[in-house]
Amino acid sequence: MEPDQHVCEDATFRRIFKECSCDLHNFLYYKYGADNNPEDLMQEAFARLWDNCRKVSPDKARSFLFTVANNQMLNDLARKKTALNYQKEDHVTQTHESPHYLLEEAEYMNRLQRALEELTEEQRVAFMLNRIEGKKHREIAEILGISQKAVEKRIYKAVESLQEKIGKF
Amino acid sequence: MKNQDYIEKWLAGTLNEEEKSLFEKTDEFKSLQRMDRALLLFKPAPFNEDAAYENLKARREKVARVVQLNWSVVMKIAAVLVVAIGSYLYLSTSYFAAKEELYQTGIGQTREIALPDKSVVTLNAMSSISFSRNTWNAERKITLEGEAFFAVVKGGSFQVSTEAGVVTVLGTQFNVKDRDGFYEVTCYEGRVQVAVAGDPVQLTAQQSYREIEKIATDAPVELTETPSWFRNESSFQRVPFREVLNELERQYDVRIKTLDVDVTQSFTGKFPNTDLTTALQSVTVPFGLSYKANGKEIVFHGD
Repeated sequence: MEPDQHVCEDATFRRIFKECSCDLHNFLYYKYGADNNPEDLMQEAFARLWDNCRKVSPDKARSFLFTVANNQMLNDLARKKTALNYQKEDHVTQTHESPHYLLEEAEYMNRLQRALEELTEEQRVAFMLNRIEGKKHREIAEILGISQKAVEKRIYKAVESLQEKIGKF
Repeated sequence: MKNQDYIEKWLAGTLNEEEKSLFEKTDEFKSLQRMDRALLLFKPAPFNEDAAYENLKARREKVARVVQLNWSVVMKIAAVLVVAIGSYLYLSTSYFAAKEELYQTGIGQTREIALPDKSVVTLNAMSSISFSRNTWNAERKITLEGEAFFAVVKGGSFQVSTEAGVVTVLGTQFNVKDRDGFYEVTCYEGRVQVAVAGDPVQLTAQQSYREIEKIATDAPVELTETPSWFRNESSFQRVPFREVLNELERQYDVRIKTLDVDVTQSFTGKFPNTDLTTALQSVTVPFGLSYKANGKEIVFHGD
């Protein structure tokens, strides 16, 4: 038998945290947005993992965490509307970059943000994990517990909807 | 192959060389590429993993402690706390409400600032705005010195105060300029209300309100969709020459003196904000003036 049968070992728990916390956080962020405290939810899921550490083997920890966090969110009645943020720089220029260009750029970002927020949760999370995190279709299928074909379909639907909402630019 | 197939294959990274080179020539590809670049800005800020772990550990190790309470002591402490917190809140509310954020620009700079409700303010050179983030949701109020363009998202009333007056809107695009006795509000979209002595003035798109030395003056019709300084130009229609020279000093790090020049005459025209020599010629030639530069000081001569 392997030495770490469960995740109660400090070192094992630490390793799982290192491997999964960022992925889990970003998954929650892409799916439910910044206003639903993805970091708290992530922590909460790890706390639950700790409570159940004797029942969960290390190779199942990842899917345990994603399932727990996701269920918790789905059951949260006070859930907020999805809001995404993007890094907005204060543009200080010596008037070499035309403010008109900057305004147009800002308009594009605004439209993209709105279009992303309007995607379904399923489409958004698959799409953003793929385009931003660079996750493979296979990996996303694993995270979401769906087929690879379904992932492809969701990502394509997301692209279609974004293109339509952003319009000519 | 259909368009959809191309996109699907591109997303999956399974286009072959030939298909790839065909697809990369399309506008579709360019817009997808732009989207991909923009998407990276949506990556959430990395959180501090170590701090998060420590936090989690503290939570794990917290054991429920049962403490015997002595209620009379608890009540005394509670009474003291009520008084302390109460007076703290009373004293600090006015302080927090008044805590303002300030954004400013120097000579020749412009700057774009996103407000809490995603309205965008663009400052022209030598200007500043201040507003209070804490009270923003309750009232959208901004104080402006100088000149700025506002793109306001729809919502409750949005107020811009300058020394010369108050401008109120609901959601629209407009420019406010308040500079040494020259006050001008131009509406580019929607509806704007300017508070003046007597009845407030309502402006719709392309209309301006103007005061020179506190006296309401006919304002020209604005034909462009954004202020000229968005295109790195300063443009004037029947503006006192003094204000034109002041604007030159805001756009370039120079000081302008005049000799035998009537600075009250009105000027119509424009100068570039990125080329001093052309700018100087643009404002001197129409009046037949000459100028001499001596370091940062420039002297305009009348005849």
